[in-house]
Amino acid sequence: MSTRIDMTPMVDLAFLLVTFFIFTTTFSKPKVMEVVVPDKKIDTANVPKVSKDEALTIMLGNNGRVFYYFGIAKADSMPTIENTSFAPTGIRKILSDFNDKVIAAQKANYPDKPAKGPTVLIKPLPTSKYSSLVAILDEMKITNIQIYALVDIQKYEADAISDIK
Amino acid sequence: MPKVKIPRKSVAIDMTPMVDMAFLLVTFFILTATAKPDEPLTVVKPASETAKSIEPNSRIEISVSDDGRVFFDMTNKNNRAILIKQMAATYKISLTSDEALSFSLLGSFGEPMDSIKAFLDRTPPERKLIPEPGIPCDSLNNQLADWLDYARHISGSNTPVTLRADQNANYSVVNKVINTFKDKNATRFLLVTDPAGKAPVAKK
Repeated sequence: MSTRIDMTPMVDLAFLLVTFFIFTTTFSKPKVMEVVVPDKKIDTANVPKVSKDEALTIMLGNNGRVFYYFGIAKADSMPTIENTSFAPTGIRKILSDFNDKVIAAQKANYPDKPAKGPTVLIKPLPTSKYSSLVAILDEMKITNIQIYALVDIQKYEADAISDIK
Repeated sequence: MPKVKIPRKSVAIDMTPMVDMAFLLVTFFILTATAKPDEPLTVVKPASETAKSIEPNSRIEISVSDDGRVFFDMTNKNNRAILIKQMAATYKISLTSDEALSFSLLGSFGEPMDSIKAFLDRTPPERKLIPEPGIPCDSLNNQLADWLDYARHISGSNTPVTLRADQNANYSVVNKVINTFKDKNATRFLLVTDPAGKAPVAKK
């Protein structure tokens, strides 16, 4: 009888374990999106003003609804609020069209300055879901919006949304 | 003519060096892998298309459950003993060395400071039976701010702060956590998401 034993099953098992450990270690890397919020100590008086042609406000409602208006709103003069969705033809198209429009205007008006694009204000309702927030931040990256901020919603804006069916 | 004798060779090759190498790799991966601690809450992460992966190094992680409870975790186990000592001193709680040790072995937790001593006295299976109420982060009683402050002080302000919230968590709770980050000067943080199908990113 030969003293040699067949080591093939042992090799099979060893490489199976190697493969298992390789895959489990690489898959545990978390996926993240970076968010930068302004410091609270910032002097609000010196914050640059947003021109009304370059501002877009997006409000996140309940059940994944999305509302938006262009320009700047005041309590007594609300611009028309439009209703859209997270479908690719919804908010993504509006963002990329507005981005192109503002960049073209900035290039025409100030040819020697780099075009920064529009300023987008994101205002989630307190009752909106976290997934809406992640979805809209995702859209900012996809449509390559350079300037966007997470802002608390004003009462008159929340009231205006609740009127829209 | 004499017959040419071809030496008969065995078809079996010696696999011992290959087995040695394979088990060396297995040992390497077992030793480098870190065991995942028991998570008290399951978080369904929202999907995103533009997320990047980071190295799973030491980080401070705040989790929010779908019903709005806030959990805290500092993944560097070595620093947790200092963290609980400082927190206990701030909230005037005396903990035994056994309780401090069981804190070091925890994953993320959601216990307010007034019940953390009783929580640490329970065995891990007992802890699972009683749902953790979450760490208070209201403006009147913001214990999360203290946890964050001490954790960043101990592990350095460069330690990444990650927010792992459930997709169905209300924005009001997430906003409270983000405001706590702002208060404690953690203005750069990371949202943990699940990768979805890749969308084309617009060209500049």
